[in-house]
Formats: sequence, structure tokens, C-alpha cells
Amino acid sequence: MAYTDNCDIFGGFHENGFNTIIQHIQHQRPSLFNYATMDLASNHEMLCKEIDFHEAVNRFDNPVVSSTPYLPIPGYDGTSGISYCIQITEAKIDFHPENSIPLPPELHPLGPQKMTLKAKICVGLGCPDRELTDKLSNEGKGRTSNDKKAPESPTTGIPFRRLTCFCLEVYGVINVIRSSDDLKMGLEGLEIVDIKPEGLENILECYVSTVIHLSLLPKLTLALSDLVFELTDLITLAPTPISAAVPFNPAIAQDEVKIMMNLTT
Amino acid sequence: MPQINLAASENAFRAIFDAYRDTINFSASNAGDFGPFSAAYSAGIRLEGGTVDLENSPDQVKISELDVVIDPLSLTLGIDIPSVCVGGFCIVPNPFGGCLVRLPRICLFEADPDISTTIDLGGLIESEISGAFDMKVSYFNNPDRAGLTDHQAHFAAKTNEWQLKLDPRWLDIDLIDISDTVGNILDSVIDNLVDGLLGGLPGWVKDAVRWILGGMADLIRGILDLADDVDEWLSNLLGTSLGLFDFIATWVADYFANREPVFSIEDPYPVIKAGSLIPVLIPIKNLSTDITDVELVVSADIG
Repeated sequence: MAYTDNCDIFGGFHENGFNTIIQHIQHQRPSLFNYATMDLASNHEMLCKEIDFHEAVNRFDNPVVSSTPYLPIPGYDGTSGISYCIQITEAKIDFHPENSIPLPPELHPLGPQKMTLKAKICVGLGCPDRELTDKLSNEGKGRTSNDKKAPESPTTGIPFRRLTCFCLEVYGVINVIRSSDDLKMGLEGLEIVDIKPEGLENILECYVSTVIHLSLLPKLTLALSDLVFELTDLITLAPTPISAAVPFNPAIAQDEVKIMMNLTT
Repeated sequence: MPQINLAASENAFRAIFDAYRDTINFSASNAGDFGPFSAAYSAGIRLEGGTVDLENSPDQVKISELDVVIDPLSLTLGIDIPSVCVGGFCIVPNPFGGCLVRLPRICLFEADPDISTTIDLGGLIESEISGAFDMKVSYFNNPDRAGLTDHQAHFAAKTNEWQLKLDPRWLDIDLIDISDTVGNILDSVIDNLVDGLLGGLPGWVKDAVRWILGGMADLIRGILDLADDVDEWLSNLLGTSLGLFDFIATWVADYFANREPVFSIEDPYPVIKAGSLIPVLIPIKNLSTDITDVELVVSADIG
């Protein structure tokens, strides 16, 4: 069977190539994978994992780390917050069938037209010394409840000696949903392994899942009209319509994502 | 197994080739001196039509009947007519010797050429190119990129490229037809040349020249070696003597094989374009092609 039996232009991308591309993105756009409070963002060598990034990042003054607000301390009225970082240190994709990334039992087996995303996420917290927290606590004494205003976002980080870090392995099952107007990715399931108690695992999974649903996946939605482009002044390429011959487009199978396009002149 | 496979159906490849073909146009000129006459052409050439077939075993792209449109085509003919001197003889002799009254002596056609004319033959000659081509993969190391990093080269549009070119296995150019109107055009041109050559001369001079040289039109035809078969004459003049068709075939072969790729892929390739952040550039390696009877497949790996 020819690649183009049901289309004019075919593109097949194997998961090994996709994973290499992810490594290049990680290398050339590290700020998409590393988030930290301002004090850590400007001293990224202090993060949980050393960041290996491309020389062009510095050459073109791109950020290595995306800056995030300090973690507020509930009930504390000062302007300081806790420093932290979140790093996606590894990201890998396994297109159906399931082979290069064994799924945890909760997600196994990987269904047709689906892919597994495995990520290693490291989180670090700048835990302040006891002497410093005592000092900050004393500074807060003497204020009455009348002094209390609406809490403000912290503007500085409480000094700390080193980050306290832990790393998690996160597995997600993702499918591609094609509607009449757009092409988007859906998160079918998510699992964080080896966390106890179960409630903590559920909370973390809920949080990561919500971040993916509300932050990541909407950015990966493509309008089908945006996938129509001109190859030359006279040749236009557009996704091949769904039909009996092309039930999925893009299709995820045989460790590849396959994209079919039709050409009009 | 390659990490990337891109395939274009035969129909898609034809559409892409048509777009590629339509970008091709060039000009040619040449001149030659052939003793009693000289000729020069100036031509604009473009390609139209043609059929494209992908063939397996051997892998090749076959292009048939690609029309070579030679338009404009101007052919300048310069004609050197043998010098003719008339008059100068004595009409009133002196009885004591010598001559009292002589007719003036008029010498004609002393220049070289004596007259030239330019004929517009644009669109009147049909020729075709056919050939079979390998899809050659080559890597273009941009000489302007020296000393630049990948990202600097990308921003300066001085990147290296993978290029896919049509490398001719064989290439033929055939003269298909010369329009019937060319014969009439040449007749008209020769008539005009005669008028131009003799116009303005006294009647007795014209008569004398015709008596000496015979019919002027026949003379010019003779000088041009223009036989009854105008097509063959023009074909020999443009094709053999002035080398127009060889030039076209060589130019087209060189253009396909060396100058302009059918496809080119920037390397490293910007898989995510620049925005507020630098583009993400992905090295492409092991680019190769496979041609079947129904599609062209381009395979590559990510470096």
C-alpha cells in the first residue's frame, strides 16, 4: 500500500524522531520546561536539576527559566514568600502501540489512536532556616487584627540555604480530537506513581491534570483553517477530510503520527 | 526505519513540478558570419505543458513533451550582395580621342552587409524537451554561512540546505514544427529587402542591376542558401549554425541538475518559528528519496 493512496501529501513522524525533537525544544527553549521564583530564575544553577541549554539561549538573551510569583504564606502579613521551582526534566512520547513507555497499571493498556506522555517533574522548595523564621515571626508581633489588610502578593523570597527537592514521574494518556473546526488534544488519564498517601497522590494528580487541561492543551489546539496553507502561489494544501478510507487524520498508529493532506491547484 | 517519511503522490508531484516549471525562463542570443550573409538571434525561452511520470526500477522522473516556447524570437539577417558597378561608359566619344560625355559610374553593394533586417519569429517555432531524471539529493553548504552559528545563519537567511534536484539521465530536444507562416514572412522580408536595396535609384540603374544580377529575390535567396524547404533552412540556421537548440537543452539540463532544486529543506529546520523566543532548529540527516510508480517518498532522520 502506498503512503498516498488516500491523499496527495503524506507525512509520517516516528516517536523516536518526535522524542528527539522534544529534546531539541527543551534544549533551545528551556524556559518552557523550567519555572521558578525570581530569585531562583536569576540563579538557575541553584535549581533542583542543572539545566542543559543551547548556547543561542544566552546569545539572544532568551530566558532560561520562566519567572513565577513567590509562594504566599497564609496568615503571614509580611512581603516575603517562599521560593520554589518546578522543572520538567524529561518528557517523552510513545505513540500507539504501547512499547517504549510501559504504562502504570491504572492507565494500561494504551488504546488505539492514543499516545503516552511521560514526564519527570522535579519540585524544589526554598525552606528557610529556623532562626530566620523566628526573626520574621518576631517582626510580625505587635500587629493587631485591625492592622490587617487584604494579603498582598509576596515580593521577595525568604532566604534559604538550599532547595529541598523531590521528583515525580507523571504519565498521561492523550488522544487527538478532530472536530469540524479544530484539532485538539485531550487528556484521557493521568497517573503520578509512588506517592503516598493516596489522597496526596489524588490531589497532585488533580492539580497537574487541571494545569494540563487549562494551560497546556488549549495552547495545542489548532484551527483547521490554520492548517490550510499555500505551498506556492497556485498550490494549496489542506488536511484530508475524514472518510471511510481516512477514519483518522492525524492518525496515531505503528509508533507514528501520520498526517494526510490534499492538494488543490 | 526513518524517523520521518514524506510522500507526494504522482498527481501532487505533477502539480509541484508544474509550479517549478513555470518559474523557468531564460534568454539566449548568438551570432554567426556565414560568408555572404550573417545571422543573429535573440530569444526568450520558457517551458510549458509536458507530462510527468514517476517510474520505479529504475527510480526516475520521466518528463515528456515539455513545450519549449521561444517567444520572443528575433532573427537578424545581414546580406552581402556582390558589388555591382554600372554606368561610366562613354556616350559621346571624342573623335580626337577620349570621351566627351560619359554616363555616371555608380557602384552598388560595396558595404558588408549591404542590408540587414530583423524578422520577428516569436511563437512560430514549436519544440519539445523530453527526458528521464534521477531525483538527486545534495547538501548545499552555504558559503555565506561561514563563521555563523545555526541561529545566526537562520536569522540572516544564510542557512545550509538539503536540496532535491532533477539530474538528467538523458535529455532530448526536438524541433516539432515551424509554422507555415514563416515561409510567407520570409517572402515578404525578401521583397522588402529588394525594395530597400534598389529603392531611390534611377530606373536605368535598376534595369542595369537586374540585367547584371538577374532577379534580386532569387539572388537573395541564393545568398541565404534558402531552398524551397524553409523549415529545414531555418532549422539548420538556428539549430545547427547558431546552436540555439543545443543551448536550450544544455541550459535546461544544467538548471535542473545544478541550479534550482525542485525541493529544498533548510538545515537545521525551524520546527518552531521565532517569536519572542529563538526558533527551535532541528538538524535533518540521512535525507534520501525513493520513487515508485505512484509516489515520491522523502525520508529523513532527526539529528
